[in-house]
Amino acid sequence: MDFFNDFRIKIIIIFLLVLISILAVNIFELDFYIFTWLENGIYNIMSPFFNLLDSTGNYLSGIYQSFFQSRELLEENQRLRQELSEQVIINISLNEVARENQRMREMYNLDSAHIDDLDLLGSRVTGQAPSSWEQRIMINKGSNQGVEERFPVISFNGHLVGKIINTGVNSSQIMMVNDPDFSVGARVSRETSRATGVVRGQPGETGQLIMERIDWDADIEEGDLIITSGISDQYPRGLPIGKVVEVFSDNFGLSKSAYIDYNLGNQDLEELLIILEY
Amino acid sequence: MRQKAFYILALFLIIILQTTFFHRLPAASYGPDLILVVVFTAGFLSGSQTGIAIGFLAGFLQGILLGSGFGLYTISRMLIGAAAGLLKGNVYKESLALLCLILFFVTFFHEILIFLLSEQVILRVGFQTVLVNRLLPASFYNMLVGMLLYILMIYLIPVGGFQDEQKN
Repeated sequence: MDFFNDFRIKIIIIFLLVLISILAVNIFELDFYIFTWLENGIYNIMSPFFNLLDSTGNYLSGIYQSFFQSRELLEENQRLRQELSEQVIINISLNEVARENQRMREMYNLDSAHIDDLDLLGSRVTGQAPSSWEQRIMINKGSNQGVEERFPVISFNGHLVGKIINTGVNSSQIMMVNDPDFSVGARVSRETSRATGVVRGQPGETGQLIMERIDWDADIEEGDLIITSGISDQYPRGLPIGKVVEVFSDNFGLSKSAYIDYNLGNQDLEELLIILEY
Repeated sequence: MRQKAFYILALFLIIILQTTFFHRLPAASYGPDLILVVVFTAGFLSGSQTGIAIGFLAGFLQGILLGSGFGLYTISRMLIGAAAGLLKGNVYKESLALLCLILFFVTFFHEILIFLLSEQVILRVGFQTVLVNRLLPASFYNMLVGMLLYILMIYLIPVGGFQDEQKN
């Protein structure tokens, strides 16, 4: 009976009350202003440390590179210059096509949400949230720079990376496309197919997403590029998500699903673009 | 009081390192979950009361960094802190081989808890897949790296700090 003395009973009761409160807040999705205020306050206090550590790491890495990797940097510089001059030529011809496309759209009164129209903000990745079940990263831009929740985020090559889920004063958190809670309307980008579905993140480090709710007779095959459909208004249409690697029957043949290779390892993400307006 | 300040300082340091640096390490997808090790160490060395308090703080801070505030991790970390406190007085703090084993099972139990309480995970992945691809490798990896942190912590902890501060 000594085990259940007054002190221990008090601790056990407090412990259970805290547990029940947390469960209630989560199950019923209660939103208390004081909690939100507290969370934002603590996040804003901690985020400068992440930014500081990230800047220090980059500074040290820069020193290391300038001392020990100067030869590689020179070679890379030369290669990039060559690629740039090739891209300039390609760009000129693409501009011609874009202008022609614009004229056609105007002729047929088509609405033109295009990647060139996006208002973008560059940011640096400062950290990854400490859980491998959830795929969340942190960046060094926040509400001071006009970032708001739900803004889409893309990589520098235009691939969809995720969306903003929380903003601090000078930092924000991103839920990535491979997070199990993430979902986005998507469609096949092929001249002969516009099949639609919903792309969701997969738990674990599979390197793949899943596209669900595709019509059972939809035309979708291995190698198809999947892009955002733009149906939900939360993402601009046409952002590349990944390529189909496997298509299979789902819901007892009533629909199809597909695995999507999104080829976007966290390790490669250093700079990202936030879409402020589209 | 010095012990609690030490745990809080260690926790902040580990959270900052875990967030900015550890994901660049090899096998980063398996952890290591050093926040869990700090909570376990606090509970094991200083009793359930301290374990629960540090577990609550760790889970809350982790929730903030995940964008979920008071969430799943607050519950799981508190439970680990409470369970670690039950071992206090029953296992020598120097029994490193036994503690290795305990840390393995603590990580394993914690990962199972997260799996069971995450509706987006449990409804979409089979337990066997999670066991082979996630639970066992993550527990083993955390045991190896976590033991280094545990040893570091017992040497750094304030002198005479192994007495439980609770007055019961």
